[in-house]
Amino acid sequence: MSRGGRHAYAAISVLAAGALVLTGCSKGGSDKGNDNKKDKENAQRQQQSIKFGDAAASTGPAAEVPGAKSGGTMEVLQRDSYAHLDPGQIYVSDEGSLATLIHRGLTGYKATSDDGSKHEVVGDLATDSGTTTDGGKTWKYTLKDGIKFADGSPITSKDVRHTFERMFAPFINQGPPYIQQWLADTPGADYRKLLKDGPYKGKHLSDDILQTPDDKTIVFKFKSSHPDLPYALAMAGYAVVSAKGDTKTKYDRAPVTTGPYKIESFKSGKSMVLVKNTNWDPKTDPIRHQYVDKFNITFNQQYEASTKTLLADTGADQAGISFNNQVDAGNLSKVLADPKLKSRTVSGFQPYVGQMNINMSHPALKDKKIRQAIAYALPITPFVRAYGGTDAMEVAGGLISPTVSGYDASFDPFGKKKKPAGDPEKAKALLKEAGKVGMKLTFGYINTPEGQQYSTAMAAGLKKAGFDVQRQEIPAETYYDQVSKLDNNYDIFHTAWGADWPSASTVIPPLYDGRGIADGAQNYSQVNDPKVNADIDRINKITDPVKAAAEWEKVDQYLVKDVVNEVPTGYYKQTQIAGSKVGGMVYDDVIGGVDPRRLFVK
Amino acid sequence: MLRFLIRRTLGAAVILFLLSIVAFLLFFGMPRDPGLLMCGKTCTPANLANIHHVLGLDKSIPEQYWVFLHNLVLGSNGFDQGPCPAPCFGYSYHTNEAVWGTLMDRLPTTVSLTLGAAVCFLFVGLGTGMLSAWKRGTLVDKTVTAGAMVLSSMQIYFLGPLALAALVYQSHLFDKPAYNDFTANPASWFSGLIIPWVILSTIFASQYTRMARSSMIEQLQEEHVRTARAKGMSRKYVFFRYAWRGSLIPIVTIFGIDLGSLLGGAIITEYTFGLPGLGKLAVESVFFSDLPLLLGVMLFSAAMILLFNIIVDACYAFIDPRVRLS
Amino acid sequence: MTSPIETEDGAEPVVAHGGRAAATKPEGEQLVGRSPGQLMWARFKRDRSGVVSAYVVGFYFLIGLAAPLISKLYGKNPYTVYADERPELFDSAGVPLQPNGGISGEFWFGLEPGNGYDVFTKLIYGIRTSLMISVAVTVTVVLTGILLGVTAGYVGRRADFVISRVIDFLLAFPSQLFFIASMPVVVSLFVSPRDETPTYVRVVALIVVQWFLGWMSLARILRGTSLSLREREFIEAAKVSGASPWRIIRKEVLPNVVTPLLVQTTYLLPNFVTIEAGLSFLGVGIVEPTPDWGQMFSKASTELVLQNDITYMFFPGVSMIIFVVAFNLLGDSVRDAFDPKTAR
Repeated sequence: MSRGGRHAYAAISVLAAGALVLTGCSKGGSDKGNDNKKDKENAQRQQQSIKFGDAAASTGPAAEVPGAKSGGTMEVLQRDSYAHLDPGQIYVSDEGSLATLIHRGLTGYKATSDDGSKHEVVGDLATDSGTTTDGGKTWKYTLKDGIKFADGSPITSKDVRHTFERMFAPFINQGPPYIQQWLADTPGADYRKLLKDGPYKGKHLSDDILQTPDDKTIVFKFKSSHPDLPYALAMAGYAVVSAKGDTKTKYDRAPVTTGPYKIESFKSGKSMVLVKNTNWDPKTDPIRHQYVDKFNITFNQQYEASTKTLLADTGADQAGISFNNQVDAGNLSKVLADPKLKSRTVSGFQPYVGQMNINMSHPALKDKKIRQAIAYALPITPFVRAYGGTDAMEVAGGLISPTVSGYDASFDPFGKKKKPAGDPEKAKALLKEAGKVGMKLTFGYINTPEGQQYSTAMAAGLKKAGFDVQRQEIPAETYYDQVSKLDNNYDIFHTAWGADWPSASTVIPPLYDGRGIADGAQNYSQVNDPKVNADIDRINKITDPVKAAAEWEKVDQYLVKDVVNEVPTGYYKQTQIAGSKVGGMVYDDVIGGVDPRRLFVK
Repeated sequence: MLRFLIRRTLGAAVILFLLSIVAFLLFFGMPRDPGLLMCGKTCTPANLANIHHVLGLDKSIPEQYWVFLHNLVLGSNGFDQGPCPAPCFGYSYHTNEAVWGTLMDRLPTTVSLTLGAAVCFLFVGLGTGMLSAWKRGTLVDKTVTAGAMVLSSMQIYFLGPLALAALVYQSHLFDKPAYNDFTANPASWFSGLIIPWVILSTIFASQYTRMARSSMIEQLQEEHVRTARAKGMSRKYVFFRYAWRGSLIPIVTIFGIDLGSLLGGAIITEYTFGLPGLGKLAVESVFFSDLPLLLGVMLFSAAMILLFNIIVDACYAFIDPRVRLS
Repeated sequence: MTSPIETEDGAEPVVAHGGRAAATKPEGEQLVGRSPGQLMWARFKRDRSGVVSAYVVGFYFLIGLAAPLISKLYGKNPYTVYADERPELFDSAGVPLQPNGGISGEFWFGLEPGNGYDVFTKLIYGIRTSLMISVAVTVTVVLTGILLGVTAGYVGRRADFVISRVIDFLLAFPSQLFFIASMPVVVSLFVSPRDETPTYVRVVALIVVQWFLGWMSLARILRGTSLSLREREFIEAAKVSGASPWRIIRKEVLPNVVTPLLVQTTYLLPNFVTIEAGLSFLGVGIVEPTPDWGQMFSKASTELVLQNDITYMFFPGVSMIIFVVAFNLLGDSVRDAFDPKTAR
């Protein structure tokens, strides 16, 4: 999940608001250090325990939320209007949160505890999380009985086939690429060649790739093994699309939904109303609930506005919440310091890890000493400051986030946790050894207020170490397009990446596999290290997730310490708040925010 | 009168036409590719070309401009998103919404902001200005003049944030400015706009104060006014019967122009207070390289300015019979 | 389609042609022998608020000019990231820990929330940047205004028609919108791919866009003035005596447009200062880390400042108000000095 493409602006300005986290000047700094530990506990209770559920675990209905009541209307305050409702186009987190209520896929994450910490991948529309007999090359799914679209038509394997085939159509360009790449067995965007126009011009995926022998059965056939398929299928991007109801580009505004809620009305940029979907049968759904009668979603609610409204806790807003808005920086310290207010909040890590990429394709940066000098010199404090201080950002040691299994808190090869402002002396010494004092370093930065702020301070830090830093602004909306061009001019540039499912297999391979270097791909630093490549192939075959996690962490440490193709900067954090009449609010580690499915009105 | 209106309308149409050309060229000078924005993460050159084709960006600039004009005047059914009746500005690249619909959507915010503020600043400005002229030379006059001078030198980007900090964040006396539909909830409409109104009219009113005062004083020195005074008419009578009327002309002019440009989007005000009006829309359209939206907002703003220029000129005829519209 | 109000703008020219000046200015009678410039100067000196304003304005220009010297004496510069140099003064979000934005004997105006720049040097350098840009815009606008305005007014006929239409057209531009839309375009025209976009590129872009939509009102006024001058006897006389058009423009027309020109210029300059600041406020003008008045406002309107450190906002805010008030008062005085008939 990159904070990428055209959504970069949205994502970035979300964090922008973070720039405002203010621990209060007169109060004398922040006083919530102990929360930190808890966040980490929250996050670390993560992935090892996620297992693939069997048919019994995949049978609905979902376990009741303690104390839950049915009925009532919930007010939802959101900052950004949803740009996409078509499952195939959903990749960003706010649309993902909405998708948990309206879309269903073959698999899904079932919460197995009431605090959002423990999960199991189970069959959602399918009877189980998938069966494979050959180590992950062939996967078989069987659809449950009684599953219907919101328009009452039954969901069949034809719809599932259509769902995957349309992912190849040119107009589907925002969603996740994993399964398409696996089906086509190619990295990057080449998979599109497999079915150029999608299913719309009569062509279909052949039986040696995707089989739908009857109305209930779907078989995926990959050329290489992909033990992660059940995770991938749980992404909102792979939720089922009605073959009959597919209106192509118009589907993005009015999809045929499957979840416990359907869209009653949607005014882009203004509001959305979700009502109960009567064709949703709880007995088929092990994951979701349908406690609330109606969700009134209003957009354009900036963080300060939603926080203020929810803090005021009056009228209809007592049953108010935001799926994705954070407590704004200005109120954060106040809210966390007041036990009464704090009880209405949930906090946790987001899946994103920030990193400063060093462009390995530039000859000047092939010298490892120079890269080490950058790593030592780069101050992280500007980054933490720009996003609002330690409540919103934690200095990172490695590339694997605390929310992903394998995270090692003690790893910190360049002493960033001790000296977050950088170590210019050490850097200067290295630069001298390399004989490159005063070398030119082009720093591409995202042109947002935060980007301007942290890039100037970072540049000042690098200058102290003897670099001649040239800052280049890049427009926010095309930032990721520009930095993912192979022949870009930037020596260093910052990106953030979040795991698509809580395994480093969605971090290390897409970002650091040297064979994946391509225009528009996510190997931003263009690192091509034979050892890393070999390790990726090796670990991808490990089926035991715990063992794999430990191996990924080793690759992470090798990259950061020995390859030095990027410098990790920060782990993103957030706190969310709801009105006093909202029940069932938990921070779900997989969603990376409030779990909308468990909410009820007290 | 009719001839005047026709002539001016035609003139305005020519200006709008030229303006649309300038805006069009400006857009193609922008250092970003709107296709890239829509292409997403797994963008291949083929996909990009396809998007360019769908947007019509693969055509030459004159051709694209022709299509734009054609759609504007005659409407179009050629869009994926649905039919687009005239005036058709097409569909936004960014939100896929019809541009005309978006404009109409944002217009109530801007209209509410403008009209509320205009009522405030016109009355306050005229009132204080006349008072000041009436009491010319007294302490009242001096205070008003000095106050107006300072206030008119204030900037929204200073006064706005200051008011937000003092009245919203620190004291929590007022709601954070927001636009709420008047028909849905008049009270919240009012409370959401009160700070922007006050701030906007503070700055504008002081200009009107200065203007009203000086044009009133000028009028009082006009011969017909002095004659009336000499004939023994009371100062009050002369003040409100003669001078007042004459002093209106420059004020009406400025008021019309202000109204026109505010209705075209009070960019800094809307930006400062985060109000989703035309001004904010304009900034967003530039930010997202959204050509249809940019053209829509630009032409709409310019049309407002021109419309009010015509209205102002037409008003002279009513205020001052000496002015003939020719 | 010129509006009837135009004659209002077109201010009666104060004729400066030897003794004739006295005829139009009764007060001037006992001062026979003084040039209109001297007369104006004498009147101006009597206007106390005008003189004070002139000193204030001069003070700002002095600060702008001497900014490097002042900051050298003060021992700081506006680029040092004190949040990293002196982390003990800030919390992790970059808010100064001391009250009132960290004002102290060391940092006179405190520290900027965020990266912790020194506010005092930032402000004086910001004034320098803003004034530099605005003066440049004013100069280009004045030159364009004279050239086109006098041409339209004096030469008349076709030139007048064309220029007047261009003026009408440009006046219908939604100017702020145009500024915002064109800034990125103009900047991108100069950008080099490897190096940082130099500050001067943004400065030039700001000057160009403001000039493009800034000259019309002045040109219109000068057109009106020279139009009415054309019919005056002394011009007729010059023509009859065989003076070349160029000579007439230079010797007869130009001296007589000096009055409206000077008056307008004193109103234009502060206007350009505020427009420039507005653009930087919207994020399309000067950007961090280059110190600039408007960019300081943009910082001041962030939640970080609004919620934690209102003090910061007052430095750019108050200094700009004083500047604009002083300049406007100066403008009034200049106008009065030239044209004492005007009521105040």
